[in-house]
Amino acid sequence: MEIATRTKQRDGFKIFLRLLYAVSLIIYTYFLLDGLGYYVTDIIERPRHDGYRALRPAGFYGQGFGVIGTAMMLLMLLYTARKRFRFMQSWGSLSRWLDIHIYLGVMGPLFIILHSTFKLNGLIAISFWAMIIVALSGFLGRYLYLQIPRTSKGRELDLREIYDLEADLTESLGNELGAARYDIEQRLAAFSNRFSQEKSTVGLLYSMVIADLMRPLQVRKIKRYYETELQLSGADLHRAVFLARRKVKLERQVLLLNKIQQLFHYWHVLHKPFALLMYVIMFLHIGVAIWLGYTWIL
Amino acid sequence: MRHLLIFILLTTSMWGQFTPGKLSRVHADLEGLANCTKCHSAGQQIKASNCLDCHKLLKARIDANLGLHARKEFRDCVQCHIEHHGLDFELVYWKEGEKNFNHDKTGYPLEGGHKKPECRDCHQEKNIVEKAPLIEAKKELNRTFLGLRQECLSCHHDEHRGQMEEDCLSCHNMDAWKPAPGFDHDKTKFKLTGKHQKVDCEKCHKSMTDNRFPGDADFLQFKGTKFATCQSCHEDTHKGRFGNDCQSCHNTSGWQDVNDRNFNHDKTRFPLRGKHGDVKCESCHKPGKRKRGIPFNNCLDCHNDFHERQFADRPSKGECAECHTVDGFTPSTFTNKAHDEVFKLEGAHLAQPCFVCHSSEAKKTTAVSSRSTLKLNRFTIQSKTCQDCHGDPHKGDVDKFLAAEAAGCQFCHSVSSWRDVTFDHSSTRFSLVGKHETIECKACHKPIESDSPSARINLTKLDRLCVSCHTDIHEKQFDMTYEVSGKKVSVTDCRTCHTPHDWQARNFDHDEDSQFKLEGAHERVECTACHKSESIADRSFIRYKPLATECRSCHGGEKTREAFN
Repeated sequence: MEIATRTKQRDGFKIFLRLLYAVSLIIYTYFLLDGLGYYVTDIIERPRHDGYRALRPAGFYGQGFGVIGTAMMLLMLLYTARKRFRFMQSWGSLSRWLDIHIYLGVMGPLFIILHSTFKLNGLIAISFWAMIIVALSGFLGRYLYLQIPRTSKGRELDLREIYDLEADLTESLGNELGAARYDIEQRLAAFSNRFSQEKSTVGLLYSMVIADLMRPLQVRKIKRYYETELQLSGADLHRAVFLARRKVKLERQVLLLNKIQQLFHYWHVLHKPFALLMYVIMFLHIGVAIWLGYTWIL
Repeated sequence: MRHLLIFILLTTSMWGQFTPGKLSRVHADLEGLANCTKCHSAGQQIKASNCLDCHKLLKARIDANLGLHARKEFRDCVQCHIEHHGLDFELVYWKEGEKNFNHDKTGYPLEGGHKKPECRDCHQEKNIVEKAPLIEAKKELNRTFLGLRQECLSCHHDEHRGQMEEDCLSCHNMDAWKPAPGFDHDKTKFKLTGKHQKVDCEKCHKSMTDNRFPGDADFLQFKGTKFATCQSCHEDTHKGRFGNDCQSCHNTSGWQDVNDRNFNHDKTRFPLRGKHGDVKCESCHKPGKRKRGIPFNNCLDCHNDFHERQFADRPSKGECAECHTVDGFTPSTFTNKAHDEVFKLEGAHLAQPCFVCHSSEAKKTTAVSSRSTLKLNRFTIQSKTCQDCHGDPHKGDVDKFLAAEAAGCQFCHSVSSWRDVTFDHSSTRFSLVGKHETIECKACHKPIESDSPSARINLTKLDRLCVSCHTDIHEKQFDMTYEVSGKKVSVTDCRTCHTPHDWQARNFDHDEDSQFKLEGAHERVECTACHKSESIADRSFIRYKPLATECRSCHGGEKTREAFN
C-alpha cells in the first residue's frame, strides 16, 4: 500500500513535468523552425540572410536564446546547491530537484544551440562541446541513477531497506500468486542473473540498456503467463504484473548495486569537470560580450 | 582536470580562439586578442568611429557630407560590413545585390547611359584620377569604389580634344553621346537653317585623326571650320559662272529650291534666246528634278522631234537649227537654195507652197508630243521623178517617149508650166503642116472621158485621116474605096483637093480632076452656078458629084435661063 501512495504523489509532479517539457519543446520547435532557413544557410552566406540581424548570436533572438539557455544552465546549479547545502535539504525531494535539473539540462543546451546558430568557433566552442558532453553524460547519469534503489524522495536505500523492500515485494507477489509463487520466483530470477556475467563496464551498460529496451517484451511474457497459467485478470493481473516488474528491476538493482554505485562515482568525475569547464568558459564568453557592449535588451 | 583547464585557458594560442571567427582577408592584420578593441569599443559594440580611424578616406568624405556613407542610414558600418566570417568573406554587403544598388544614394544618380555599365566598368583604376591617396590607404584600385569624380572627363576622354569647354553636360546628356540636345548651333556664328539643320555634323565638320586615346582614332573638327562662303563646304558646280554669291539664287531650303526671279539664265551655258525667254522654268526644269545637269546641247534634249527623225540622215543629223531658230518653229529658215542642193526648185515649183509637195500624212506612231494632232509632213522623198509628185496624167499613154528619151516628163513638159509643151510633132507620123501648126494641141487631142481640164487627153490614139478630126462637109461625095486587110473601106481623102494651109481646094484642077473641062464661058461662071446647094437630113451641102455633064442638064430649064440672064 505504501508503494501505491508514493506513486500517486509523484503523478501530479510528473504531469507538471511532462507539460513543462511539452510546452518548452513546442516553443523551442517553433523558434527552431522559424529560424531554420537561417540555420541551414551556409555560414558565409548568413550575413546576407534576412534573419541575420535577429538570429545571429548577438541578435535580439539569438542573444535571447543565449540568455535563456545561460539562465537555465545557471539554475541547474541549484540542484548542486540543494545537494551540498544543508539548509536546502529540506527544500523538497531531491528526485524532483533532479527532474528539474534534468529538464534544465535538456532545454538549456538546446537554447544554447540556437544561440550558437550551429556555428561553433573559437574558445566558446570548447564550452559548447563541454556542455554537450555534460548534457549527454547527464542522460547516462540519470540512467545510472535509476539503477540505484531509492525512496520516492530520491534518497538511496541502504542494503537493509533494499532487502525489506524485496521481501515486501515477494510477499505481495506471493499473495497475488499464491501457490505459483516459487515458480514465478525462478522465472523472474532468470531475467536478472545473466547481468552478473558481464565483466566490462561498457558491456554491462550495453546489456542493461538492451534489457531495459526489451523489458516491455518480458513484461508481456509474464503477463501472458499470469493470464494463461494462473488465470489472473483485471486489477489482480495489473497488480501482479506491476509487482513482478518491480521485483525484476529490484533484483537487477540488487545484483548490480555495487557495480552501479562504483560507476556512478566515476560518472560524477566525468559530469562535474566538464560542467565546470563549460561554466568557466561561458562566464568568460559572457564577460567579453558584456564588456564589448553586447547586453541584449539591457 | 583542474590543471588541464588552467593550462588550456592560459595557453597563448587559445587566446586567439576567443574570436567568434576569422576576420576577412583585408582585416587579417587585425586578427588577435590585442586588436579587438581597435574595432570593438568597451560597452559600445562596434562604433563607426573605430572603423573610420583606419578608413580615413571614407571619414573625410563623410565629414564633407559626400557619398553613400555620409547618409544617415549608412553611418552604422556593421549594418553592411560584417566581420568574423572567414578570410574569404566579402565585406561589402549589397542588400539588394550589387547590380540593384541604388546609386542615387551615393549622391551621383546614374542616368541614361550610366545605367547600363557594370559597376567595375566605371569603378576601376584607370578612372581614378588621384591614385596616390588611395594607394597610401592600401586600397586596391580595382576593388575600391572610392576615387571617382563626378566630372565627365575624369572617366571619359575628351572626344573634342579641347575644342569645347569641359562642361560636357552643357551640350550632352547622360542618355547618349549623340545627339547633344543641349547644343544649339544657332548660338554659334553659323546659324543652321533649312537643309543645314538635317545634315550630319560630319558633313561639315571634318573628321580628324588623333591616336591619343585608345579605341578612338578620330574626332570632328569644330573649331576653325570655315563658313564665310557657301564654297567653304559646297563645291561650286557652276564652276564660277554665276559668281560667288550662291544665295542670290539658292537658299538653304534645298538646292533645287531656286529663286527664279533673281536667276540670270544668260550666265549659264544656255542663255535663253528667242522663245526660250518666254518659257516657264518648269517646262524645262521639271519640278523636283535637278536644275543642273540638264542636257542642252541638242534641241532634242528638250524638244520632241516634230519630224520624227526624218532628217537623221542629213549631214547635220537632223540638227533643228539647220531649218529653225529659237524665234519659233515657223517660219523655217530652210531656203530654196538649200532646197536646190537636194532638189532644185525651178519654174512653177518655185511658186508652190512647201506643203504642196511635202504633204502631210497621218502619223503612224502614237502621240509623241502635245502637237500630235498635227499631221506629219513628209519631207524625205526618196525618188525625185515628176511622177512621184505629179503622177501620170497620161496614164501610160506616153511611156514610150519616157523610155525612149529617158528625160521623163520633160521630154514634153518643163517645170515652168504644164501647158508649156515642147513636143516635136514631126517625130510622129503626123507632121504638123500649114494650119495644123497654128492650132492648139487640144484642138486635135481631146479629153478621152470628159471635158474636164484634168481629164486624160487622147495623145496617141488619133487617126491620121482628115475626117477623123475634120467634118466631111461634102457628105461623102468624094469617098474613095480602099482595100485594107482584104476589106473594102470607103473613105474621103481630103488631100486630093485640099492642103493643110487652108480650105482652098488647091490640089483640085477642074479640068483634070473632074470629068467636065471648063472652057469658054464655063471658065467665068461661078462654081455655085453649076454646083448647087442641097440638103440631106437638114444638113445642107453643095453637090459636086455626081453631076450630069450634058449641057441640058444645066441649061435646059428655067434655071439655065436665069443663069444666062
